[in-house]
Amino acid sequence: MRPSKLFPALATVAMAALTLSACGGGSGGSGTGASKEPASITVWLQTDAQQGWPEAVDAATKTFAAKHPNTTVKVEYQTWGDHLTKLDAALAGKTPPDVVELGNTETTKYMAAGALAELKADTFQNSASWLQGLADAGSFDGQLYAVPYYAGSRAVIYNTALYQAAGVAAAPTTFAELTAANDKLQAKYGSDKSFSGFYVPGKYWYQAMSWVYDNGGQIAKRDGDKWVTTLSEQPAVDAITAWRDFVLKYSKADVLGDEAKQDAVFAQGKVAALYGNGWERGVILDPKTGNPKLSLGAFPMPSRVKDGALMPAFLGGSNLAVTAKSQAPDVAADWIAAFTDTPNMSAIVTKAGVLPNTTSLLNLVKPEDKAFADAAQTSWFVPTAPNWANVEKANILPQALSDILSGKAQPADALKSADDQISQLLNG
Amino acid sequence: MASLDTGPTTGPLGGPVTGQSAGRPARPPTSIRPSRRLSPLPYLLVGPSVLLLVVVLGYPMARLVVISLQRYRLRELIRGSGEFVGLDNYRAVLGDPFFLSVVLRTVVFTAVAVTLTIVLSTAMAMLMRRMHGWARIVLQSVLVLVWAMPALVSIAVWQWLFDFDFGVANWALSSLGLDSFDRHNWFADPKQGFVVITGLVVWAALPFVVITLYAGITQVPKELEEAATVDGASGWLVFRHVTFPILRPIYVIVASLSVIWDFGVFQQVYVMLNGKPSKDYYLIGVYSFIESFGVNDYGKGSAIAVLMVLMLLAASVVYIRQMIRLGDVR
Amino acid sequence: MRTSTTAPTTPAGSALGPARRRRRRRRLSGGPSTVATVAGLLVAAVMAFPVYWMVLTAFKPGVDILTYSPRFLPTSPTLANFRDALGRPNFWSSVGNSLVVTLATVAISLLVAFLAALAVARLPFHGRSGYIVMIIFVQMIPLTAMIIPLYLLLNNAGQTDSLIGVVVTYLAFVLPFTIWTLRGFVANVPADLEEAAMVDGCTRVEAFRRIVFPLVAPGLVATSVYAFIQAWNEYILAYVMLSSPEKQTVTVWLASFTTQKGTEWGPLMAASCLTALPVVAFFLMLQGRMASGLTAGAVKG
Repeated sequence: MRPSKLFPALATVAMAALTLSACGGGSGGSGTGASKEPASITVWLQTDAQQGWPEAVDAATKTFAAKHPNTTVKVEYQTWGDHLTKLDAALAGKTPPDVVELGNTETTKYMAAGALAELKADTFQNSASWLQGLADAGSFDGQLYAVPYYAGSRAVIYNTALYQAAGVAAAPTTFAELTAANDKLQAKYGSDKSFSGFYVPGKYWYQAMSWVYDNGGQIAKRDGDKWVTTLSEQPAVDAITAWRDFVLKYSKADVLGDEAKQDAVFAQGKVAALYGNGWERGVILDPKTGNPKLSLGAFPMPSRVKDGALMPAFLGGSNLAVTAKSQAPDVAADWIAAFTDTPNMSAIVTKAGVLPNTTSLLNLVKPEDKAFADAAQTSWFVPTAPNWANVEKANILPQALSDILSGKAQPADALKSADDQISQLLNG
Repeated sequence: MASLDTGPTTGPLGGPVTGQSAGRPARPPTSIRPSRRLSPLPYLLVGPSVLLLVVVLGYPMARLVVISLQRYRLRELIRGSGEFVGLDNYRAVLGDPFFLSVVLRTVVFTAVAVTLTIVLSTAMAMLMRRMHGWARIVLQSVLVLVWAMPALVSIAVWQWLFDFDFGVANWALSSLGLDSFDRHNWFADPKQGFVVITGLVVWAALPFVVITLYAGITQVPKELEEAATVDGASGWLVFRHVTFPILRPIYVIVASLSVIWDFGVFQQVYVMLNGKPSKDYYLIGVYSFIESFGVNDYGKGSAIAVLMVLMLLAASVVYIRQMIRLGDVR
Repeated sequence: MRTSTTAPTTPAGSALGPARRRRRRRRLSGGPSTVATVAGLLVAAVMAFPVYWMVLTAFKPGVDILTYSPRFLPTSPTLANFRDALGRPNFWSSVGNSLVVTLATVAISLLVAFLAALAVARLPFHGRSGYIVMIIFVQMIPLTAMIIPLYLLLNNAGQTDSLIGVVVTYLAFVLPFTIWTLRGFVANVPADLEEAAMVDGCTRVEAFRRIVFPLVAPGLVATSVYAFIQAWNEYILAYVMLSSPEKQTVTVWLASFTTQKGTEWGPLMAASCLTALPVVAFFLMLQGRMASGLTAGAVKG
């Protein structure tokens, strides 16, 4: 039978071709040792840039080309779901990207593992006024590794129609006003068992921890070489107890759920307010994902303990880093500088409604997003420990909060248990 | 269990299976001749697959074992080498009582899922024989559509069907009067959560098994079954004594594959729980993935994967030994 | 592979006419029954429900997708999701890439696996049991554990960001299964059928083509559809191995519907409907061609 004899031959040729081409060397590397201009650099951005601000990417490449005319830029868009798996594989191999976008909670473990190249702050514009939450995420042991890119902060998004119908005339500016507003909403709509005056899913720990930091507590602090967890201290316990009472009174959200679908719930019209990122307004109003007929407003979450102050908001967002294995780290850093320079950053902010990486450009934010810009000024961030990612993977905080809300545990006990588990992971 | 092959007493070339003559030059088989022990034909047929599997999977498998014997975290991954720690990873995994609970949970889950899959598929395949042709094509097309749905999409749809606020399941059950299902979180209790997950896994597995079984069933001569029925045997006896023995090789295939696949289930649990499964939901595949890519302890994650393979091998050793004993010349 | 439509003459004649008459005569044997048909259609409806939900969502505007009372029919159907999905960058190129990868995988794996299955099922040889053990063994290794080592292997061979590398990787995962399954189908065909045909004067190859092949045809269909779907829907390997946007496959393209803001479900479901079509088309096409094979190989009494 002729075909069967062909096949081994074909297979052998194929394998030989594969192994031979291994001698060809990787792509994108620099040519001779003397030249510093690589033929190309590879940039990994998330799909948000592809859909939100592709023109800014092109503009950055143009600016970059002026300085490095012989280097092409290959931009590859990654998906949030598995990009770290892909990054791990690429870092282990010979052809990692030169520039990579990382979420600001993802940077620490890579910095600690030596995956990222050292950068100098003065290469980048506005570095003196970078948002604290992003700057903290980009530095390790005092050295800069990841440049702030863009941010999102959280504030209260509310349904103006429901508020007005319940008799709340203006957006609350103090915590007492917020509670009063919630009471009025509860009085008017509380008979509907799906109605939430203030929607808080149980596992939304970004929300809950804001209360802790507002009260002067924190998750953990550095003590020499160790991390000491502080959630079982009184400020944190009091804050979480108050949070629990607030949530049980005003929220009908699933105490075992997280915030993934809160915009879809809001769009159904039975939620008066939720705590969300600036871009969630867009999601709620987008006809493909929500209800464009709703009218929304936003105000920063007021502090519970100090009238006139704001509850610190968790700053989400992304940073841009250069991989340590990159063949041309200086060139890569130049691309980042071009992408995050003032004109480009302004374009991104005005087009996409996200927050810039610097306080100096916060004034460019659209009027309806002002609440988020204000909220960004007072922010908190997770402990910058290399093992923090493990704490998030182990779901310690969401689980503790669910247990508290469902009544399985008292705040003091649940927080003590969380403290022990977090301490073990951070110091392990 | 009978042998895999339907036990030919004569080799395919017509000669006796055991009678071999050495030293005769190989000739292309064109007519009935005694088989030659050193005929190159089988090796040529099997060669491409062996070559491909060894080249593509050999190195990764070796690396997997090597990494399981090393301390291998993110730093080592980037550097490309770790330090040998012998069996430390294995000791850490096996010494943790949590591992045993994960294994037990996986075994129970696999047993339930495979049983359901096989029983339901048999029923459906038998049903398909008796359906009118056009209806059968409808059912087959539905099965292919189910099969064709990308996993991430089907998991998302199942999540919605069992959603706390918006799920059809909650709506249907509470409309029927079971008020406790109004705004009910199906994943609060792992037992209920696994009902959903098992439903999803079995639902997604049915198309392949049904279509394969049905393909096998078409090879069963109807006359045999008819004869048995005429002789007075009931449906179940006909199945057990006529149909099933003929289909046994197919059942062996789908059952063994189902066991292997269901034992390694990972995506359905991980994605259904939004990437944050609690410890009560860990199956061994989930455990291995999270250790490797969540906590970045690749050494431990690889050790778990190796243990998983060893467990499956151990479970199949009885079967393989029988197969070697009964089915083959050497 | 064209099946021979000239079946050896059997006492029962060709499939449809006399068989149908026989079925009507012998009530006990149970021909197509209305009860079975109704039951089967009910089963189809239950199985299809999640698929229906996917298609339904593709036509819904955002506000109707997740609602307190489920909407079983679209109250205000819209094509906006489809327009959005089709308008995304790289749609057509990713479909093209997926088709290339999938068809190559199916064709090569079917050929290689069928030949290997024949050898394992019919020919005794040294190392056959070892081969079978290897085939079963490689399927036990969890894919997630192999991602990084596989990437490193291809990286060293310079085959990352290459469709060939992806095809070769897919083959390694599809082959064991297809060989194992086809082996069962081939083994199910008694060897004496071939011998009877050869006694009747056919050469070995002819006997194979006329007797064995049509009987194994349904198994080939099932296996090739499986291989098609595995290759078409595979995500993580394609995502990790490929880098350039022009090379990405359809599943990677689908993943781009999720951004920091979450997932746009309407467009994603629309996109999934579109990407499921080639699979169904492939199956229906095979089913049509193989139907003649099913009746041609009718087993005689």
